[in-house]
Amino acid sequence: MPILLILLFWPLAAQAAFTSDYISLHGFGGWAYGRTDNENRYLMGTEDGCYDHVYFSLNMSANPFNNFHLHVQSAFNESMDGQEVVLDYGFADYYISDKLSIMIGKIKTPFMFYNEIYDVGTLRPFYTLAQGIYYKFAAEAYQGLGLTGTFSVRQTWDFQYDIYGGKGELQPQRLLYAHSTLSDETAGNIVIVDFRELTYFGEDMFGARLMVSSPLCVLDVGLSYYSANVGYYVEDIYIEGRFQEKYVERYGRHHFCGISIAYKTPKWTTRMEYVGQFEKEEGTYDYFHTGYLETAFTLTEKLQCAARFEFEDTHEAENDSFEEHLETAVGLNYWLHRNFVVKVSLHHVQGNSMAMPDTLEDYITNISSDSFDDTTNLFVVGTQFSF
Amino acid sequence: MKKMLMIFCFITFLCALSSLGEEEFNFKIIVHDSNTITSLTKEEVAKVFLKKTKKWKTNNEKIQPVDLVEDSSVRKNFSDRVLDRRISSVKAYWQKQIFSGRGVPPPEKETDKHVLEYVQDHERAIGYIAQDTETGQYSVKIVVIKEN
Repeated sequence: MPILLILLFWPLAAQAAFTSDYISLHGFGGWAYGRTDNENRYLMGTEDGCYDHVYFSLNMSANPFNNFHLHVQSAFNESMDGQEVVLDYGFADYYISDKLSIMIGKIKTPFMFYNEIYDVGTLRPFYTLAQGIYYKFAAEAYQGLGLTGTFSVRQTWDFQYDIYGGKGELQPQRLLYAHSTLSDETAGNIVIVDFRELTYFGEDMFGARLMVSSPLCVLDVGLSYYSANVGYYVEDIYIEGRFQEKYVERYGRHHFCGISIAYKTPKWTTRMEYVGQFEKEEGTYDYFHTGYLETAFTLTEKLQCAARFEFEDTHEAENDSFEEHLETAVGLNYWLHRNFVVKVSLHHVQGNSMAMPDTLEDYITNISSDSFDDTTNLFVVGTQFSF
Repeated sequence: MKKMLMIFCFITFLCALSSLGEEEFNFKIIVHDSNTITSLTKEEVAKVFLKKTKKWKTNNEKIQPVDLVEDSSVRKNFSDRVLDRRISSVKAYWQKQIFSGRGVPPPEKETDKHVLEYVQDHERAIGYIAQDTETGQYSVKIVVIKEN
């Protein structure tokens, strides 16, 4: 919170000191409170209310010599699950022409509209992104090589392409995980069930994206694709009777394709995105999909209202409610400045694909009685800023 | 009466036609006087200031655009007429560029004098200032915005 106060009163002249011809410094962050109306936890909300969600990212770009740029962004995150400091991205970028630049390092995956600007809250109407795409399907970053460039048709239609390959980092997932301790011949195997963070990765990953902007930037259309051998690892765990510092499990090749459309006027913005995931198992293809439709309207210079509808269909869980995620959200934003906004939103969620019991005790109780609460309402209030 | 009305309408129409080719800018584009560029289209200027075009075609040197601060009326007119976007949209564009690691915006200067000094000190620079600002004492020249 002190950072927000500093930025509000930080004069432009002082900000200029952080930008030179060779180095520029920027950042963004936010804080939110969330509360659900039942035992389920969803996004930053729990039944008792949670104040712990806060994050801040520092971004630096350097241009040490002609055609060569360095970009680094680090993140400091705090949530109900703990604290972490991570490297969002760090890469070198060599410019050959407007149509071709080469990037090497850890790079945000160019996927759909928001993946590269995942946590920049001043660029979207809701505090969080649509979870079906950006939590379940998107690859957060890749470590490898990318090519990018822009070109125009008739001087007015702009095209931007990205092609990339390497090893991908997907979003970590917090799931209920059953594993067994060392077996005792007299006591038998003891099974431990607890919530674990599974770190997903994508090996031999490659992908591409094409973004098209119409004249006057009214319409943006994007096509995104990536493919990877997906797997996950869990740390410090008992599996099959023995302790492992890092247990790794690998699935087959997954393919993700998506389409993004945005229509923008000075007062209205409407976005629609849809992603399908294909994976081949035992000779047949499985298909999962998710999408959302979001619209925002500027009521006054500072006041904005927004609505979003989202669905996700995984059809892989035994319990029907765990296959489903339907979310309707409405929000109201107050823009004190285009770089500082206060957001309030209500989310109505149907299904337990992402809104599930917060504690192990509630989870096990509901499993035994098959009584998961499949309707969750979440209230979120928070602030986001950028500079 | 009908004849007079028709003549009046015809003259009005001619006047309207003659003004179509004229852009009403309250700014002028300036470059260093060693730059051989004499004219640019509106689209070319827009691409330069959004850094979609990064090199001068004449010598393949890196272009250094410079903006005025966002509360400048000259910048507002430049943004509306050349970039075809409001300043808030341009700011959002640059936020996306910055945080996806694709680029940083041009520096912003408080006054026309600061822009003139920047362009004078940087041979590859390009900027814009108010139409009626004097440039004689600076080593800069005016670039014409031409039709496509």
